[in-house]
Amino acid sequence: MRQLRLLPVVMEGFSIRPTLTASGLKIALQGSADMEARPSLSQFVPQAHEEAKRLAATEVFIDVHELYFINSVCLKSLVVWIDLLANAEPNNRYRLTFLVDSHLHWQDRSILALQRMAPDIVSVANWKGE
Amino acid sequence: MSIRVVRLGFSLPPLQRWITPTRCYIADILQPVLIDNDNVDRLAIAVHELLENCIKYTNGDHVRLEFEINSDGDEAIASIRTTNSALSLHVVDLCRRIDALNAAKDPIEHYDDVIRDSLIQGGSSLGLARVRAESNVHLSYQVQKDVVVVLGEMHVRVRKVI
Repeated sequence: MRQLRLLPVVMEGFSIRPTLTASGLKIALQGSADMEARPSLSQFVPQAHEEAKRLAATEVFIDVHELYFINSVCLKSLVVWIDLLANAEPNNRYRLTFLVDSHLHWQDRSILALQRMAPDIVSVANWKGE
Repeated sequence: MSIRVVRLGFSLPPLQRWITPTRCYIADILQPVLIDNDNVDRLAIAVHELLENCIKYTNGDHVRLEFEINSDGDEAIASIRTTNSALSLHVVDLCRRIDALNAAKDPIEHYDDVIRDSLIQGGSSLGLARVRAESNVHLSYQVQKDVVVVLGEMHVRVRKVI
């Protein structure tokens, strides 16, 4: 049986909750990703990438539907994730899909900027509930 | 005749923990004032990024943030003004970044370039380009000795109260 080797991060006002899915991983980012969240997120990103490789994931979902704000410093951590993925060996690649809430207007603009970095491996979908 | 719809001023110690509450406070005030909620989001991001920059780079014991909306007929302009003192190398870098933003033909393309460059240069350095591209806020600056004022301006539509 597959077992997840990623621990959740729970802080006041921000959390990262990883779960296993049939095709790989789902990472839920919740709350407000600001300067306080930066060390946790920047540390978590390479760990999540390694875990996705270990699990031979074909898809990793980053669920941001309950992420109410992200500053540019935390956005940079996601930029780094996409860069890690884009530079990974082909057999270690997976699709990165952001699950957004279209009612949170900033998500369209910020997540689309991430998608433009690597449209062949990054996609955006509307969150439709569990 | 120009009418001042909103005027807020903050003098803050340069502590990161003040940034998020200040952004949330301004966003809450704007919610019933602006017609478009999307503009509340755009301004909240701009306030956060500009305040974060000035707190990060100040070498003084406080920074200043002023937020205004002035309306003239159907036109209204939201203004964010941050003031802080900083080392001259940081001031020069800030001015260079804002000049590059204003010289760019397409803010989105420029933002994409800044994102790519940030992977080589390290650090974040996305904030100002993000404010321009995502918030559609026009940025300018004034420098006097070691004090730098950054001004962000954006057209908005305000609700008619009467």
